[in-house]
Amino acid sequence: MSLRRVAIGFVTGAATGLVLGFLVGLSSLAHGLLDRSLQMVRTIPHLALVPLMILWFGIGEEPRVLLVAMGSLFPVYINTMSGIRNVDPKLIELGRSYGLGPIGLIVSVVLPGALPSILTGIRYALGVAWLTLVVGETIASRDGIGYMVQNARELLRTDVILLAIVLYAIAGWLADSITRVVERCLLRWHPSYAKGAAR
Amino acid sequence: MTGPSSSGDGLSLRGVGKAFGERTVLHKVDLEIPTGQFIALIGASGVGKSTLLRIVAGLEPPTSGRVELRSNHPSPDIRMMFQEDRLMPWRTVLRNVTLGLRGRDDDARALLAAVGLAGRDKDYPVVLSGGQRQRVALARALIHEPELLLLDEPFGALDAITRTSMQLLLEGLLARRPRTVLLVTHDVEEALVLADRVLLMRDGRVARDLFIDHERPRHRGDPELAALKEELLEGLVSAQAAQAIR
Repeated sequence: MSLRRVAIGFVTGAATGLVLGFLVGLSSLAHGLLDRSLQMVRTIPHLALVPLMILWFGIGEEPRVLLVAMGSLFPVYINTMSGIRNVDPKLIELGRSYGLGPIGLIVSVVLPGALPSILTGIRYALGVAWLTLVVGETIASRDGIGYMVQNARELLRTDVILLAIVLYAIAGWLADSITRVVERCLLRWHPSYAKGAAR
Repeated sequence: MTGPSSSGDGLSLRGVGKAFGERTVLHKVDLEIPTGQFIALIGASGVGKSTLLRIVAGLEPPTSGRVELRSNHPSPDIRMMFQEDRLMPWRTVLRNVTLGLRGRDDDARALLAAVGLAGRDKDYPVVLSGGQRQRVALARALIHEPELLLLDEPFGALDAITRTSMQLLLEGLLARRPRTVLLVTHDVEEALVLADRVLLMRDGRVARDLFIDHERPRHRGDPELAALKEELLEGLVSAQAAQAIR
């Protein structure tokens, strides 16, 4: 149950962050229009929105998934944007003078150049997604690990609480390992990943 | 000496000027370069050599004048090689050479062999040395069979031994298939060994236009070339001194 929430929330949030990051990173018009307001929203601790979410969406599935999505949106957005803006302009110039069109440039130069940064964002976002879920599930839910902890607290079941913590740790480790494998596959060319020394 | 032909194929610059704000970098440069000529542009730093090259490459628009490349080819290709290799680190050597191309793998492999990198096509640029990377960059420029090859201090960042071997390699590749080359360099000897014609630039103008009609391959120790080198160096140094006094 928890896993499903994280998955849905994380995927929607990360995808939105990726799209926004690309838009803002590539076009200065989008940067002018969106960046300021997105940065503003970002500074709001998204957990502060819990009460608002409950008022708007009730205590169903939506507020929890939405919170996770918001939590994972910004790390991905910021890293994607800065990754794109930090792509070496000399490489872009070279790509252009070797006959790459705008789409070719994005696919062959900008995206791979920004990828290390994007993956860092995704990894960080995964952590935030789990954190958000814990809080999300402690509010009026009937299932999930968060609910389990909440319930155990009432019943003074320390063992269940510990089990929940272990579950979280395993889930976090699993998510991290998956991104690390992805990193190693996609960043084979990168000097610090090439030797399998992903940190 | 063979004078530049004023008609027919070739590259011509007519009153090309460039200013960055108040600062004028190029003063109305006029040049006629016939097809197949190897030109070396020498001069102290900041005299506009690289700017001229970037204008010819179309990377920067000139403030005045125009650049014309006449050729019997319908869409003449210009390729530039930079001081930095500018290889895409996420592409293999082969994919770097075929950048912007499709299905030219065999040509790319043949070119890689020609620059001495046979069998390295699946490697990533990180594992290559500086000289090897520049060889890949050279192969990447040559696969397009450019009418005009622009070289912006391509060997400037390499050590002396690697530089000499790269010069020999370039000379060999051009001997097989001559093309118009514009080389910007700090290295007077490099200019004298490689070029048919050396242009000395000073204050955004072509100060000297010198034809070198020595036989190839040229020897670096050739007394006549050594004398020319001394003379050119003197010109360069005095220009720099004059600049310093002002």
